Amino acid sequence: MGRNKETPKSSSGEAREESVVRTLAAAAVWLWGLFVLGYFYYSRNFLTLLQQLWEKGSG
Amino acid sequence: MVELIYCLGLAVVAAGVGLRILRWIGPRCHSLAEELSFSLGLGFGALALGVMVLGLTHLLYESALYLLVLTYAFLGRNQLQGLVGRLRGRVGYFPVPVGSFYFWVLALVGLGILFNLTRALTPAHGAVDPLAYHLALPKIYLQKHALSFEPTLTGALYPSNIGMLFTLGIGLRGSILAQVLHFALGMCCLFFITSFCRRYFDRGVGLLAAAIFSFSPVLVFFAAKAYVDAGQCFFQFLAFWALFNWLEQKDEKTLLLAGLFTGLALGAKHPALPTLVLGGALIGAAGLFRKVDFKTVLRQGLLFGGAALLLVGPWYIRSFIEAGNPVWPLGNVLFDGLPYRGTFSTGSVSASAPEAVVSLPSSERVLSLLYWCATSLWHWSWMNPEQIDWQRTIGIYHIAFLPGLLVYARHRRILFLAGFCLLYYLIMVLRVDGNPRYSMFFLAYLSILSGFAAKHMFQALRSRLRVLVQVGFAFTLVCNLALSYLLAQVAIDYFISDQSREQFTIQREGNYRVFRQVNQNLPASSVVLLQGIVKGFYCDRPYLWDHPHQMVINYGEYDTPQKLIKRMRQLRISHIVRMINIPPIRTGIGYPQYFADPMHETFRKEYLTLLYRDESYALFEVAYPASVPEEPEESDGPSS
Repeated sequence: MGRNKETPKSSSGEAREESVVRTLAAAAVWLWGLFVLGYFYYSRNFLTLLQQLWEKGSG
Repeated sequence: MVELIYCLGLAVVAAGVGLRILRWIGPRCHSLAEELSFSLGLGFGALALGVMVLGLTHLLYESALYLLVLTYAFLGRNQLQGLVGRLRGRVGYFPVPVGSFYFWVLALVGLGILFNLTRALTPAHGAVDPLAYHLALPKIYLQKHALSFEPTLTGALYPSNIGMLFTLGIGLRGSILAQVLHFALGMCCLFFITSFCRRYFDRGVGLLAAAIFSFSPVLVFFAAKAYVDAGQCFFQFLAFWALFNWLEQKDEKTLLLAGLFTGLALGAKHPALPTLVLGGALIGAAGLFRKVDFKTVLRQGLLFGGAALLLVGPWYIRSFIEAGNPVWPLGNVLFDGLPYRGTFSTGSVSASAPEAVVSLPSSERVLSLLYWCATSLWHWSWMNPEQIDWQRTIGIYHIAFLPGLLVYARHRRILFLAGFCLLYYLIMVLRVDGNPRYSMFFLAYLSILSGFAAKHMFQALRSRLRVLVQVGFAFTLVCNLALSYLLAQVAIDYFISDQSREQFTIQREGNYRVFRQVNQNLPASSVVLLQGIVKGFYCDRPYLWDHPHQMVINYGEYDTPQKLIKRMRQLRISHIVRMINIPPIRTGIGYPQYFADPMHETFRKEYLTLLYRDESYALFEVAYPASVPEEPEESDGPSS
């Protein structure tokens, strides 16, 4: 009986643990994606490229 | 603009005849979209092979091209009627609700396509490869009504399925139609992506993947020009799609279809070779995994490889007959073909990190290989405005979204696709010159993975946050749209101005004026030597390159004015068009700085008469002395 009682408790704990890990992983992936996109689009490089193309086109 | 109507007409003909071939092969298709995708692939392939047959039989005339198109239209008429009937039921159908996130994504993609299309609709200018050989060779074929061999031109014997479509385009309407056809092949891939995703994932993944691929800088830049890479992507994507279908359906008709698309891809460009190798490996692995007997696996391999080689075979045979090497000038050491000095790198490490290339295996080399395998995707994602390399710029979405697969890839299909992309990525880095332009289809599949991750990342968020993030994603698309707009600025200005095509070309293509002189003033029998120039597309007279890689007129061998004039006589060269100031990048590969080179200066003073010059180019007539008699025609000169 004791064993029967323990099993669901431990699996629900594992499930909670897995859920926390997945949430953290998802959050890490989200932060990574936002960082990369932000760095790319707001970094000087992309804007410089757009500016160069603009000047080339206007010239 | 008429070119758009021509292109649409050719696409309709291709869909009709392609559907007929597809029905004849008989693979099971999952949806009308899949059927239409495969039909377009087979149809455009059939058009390319039809033009090739006309070229090989010396029948490349405008009337023969029209006859070919009409014959295909006739052959596919019943299938087209059926297709129109099935499509009629979907008139007014829009794949996403108006005003939804996906609607706005589609709208931005549509606008991006429109900007890029304007570039395809301008007269051919600027980019080197199209004007040097992708368009130049088809124009020469049309002038000679046959697939002639031009030994001084790079790529003269490369497989040329896309070149055949360009020949059709130039023959029917001109070089703009060739550009539009290439662009259309690239845009068809967006349709393929959505159709593929509808079968294997869902519509949302397909739309996001298509959006990501459509804004890949390498596609944006190259599809609108008459390169062949979007065409190679078109056939390669279909080849792997059919292979994946075969893995699920296990019917040999689908495998045959995959083999045919592999052959068409190989016939588009040599870097498609891994399709054959990887296809064979997939067949072998599937046989092992399913415990199929060896005979069956062998039969499947032969069916796949045989179909591929059947379609690409004529190109290899042609090359072998002309130059003694089926892949001339590649692997010339192996085949002992017609001499050609150029060397071609086949590994990305040689292209990206020459210091890592050593003849013997070493720890440095292994470390360098590992480094490039691990970081190439990262390097290709950023843009360096100081020295932008469009062919190695794939956009930012992959490194942003692909890590999402670690969280969301839980199913067999997405894991398989991820594994396939990883394998191909390694092949590409190590063997396909590390050049994403040569493997655009890989980026299309990578976009599917990125689209899958992005869609699941959006889904995992609560509604308000999701809206915020989707608006952020749409904003990045607007940024990419700005890039497309700026690239298209010149084209848009041209369309809203009253500038003629000729005025535009004079303004944008430096050598157009000198070639106009050649075309207007030189007799039809003239043979022109291009010195320091490879973009010969606008020259209507027969011409040769003096590129340092060709061995027909090599200044190392003909190193005195006397030897050179004799050689020119043999080649029946009557005129020279010379670039006045050779840029360092060309002198670096072996071009002489003609006006500063003692041998060429002596030659000029003795034998050349100036006919025309502008600020960049000079046109000379060669004055042969009586001491250099006319010699019999040589086979390696251009025939008029």
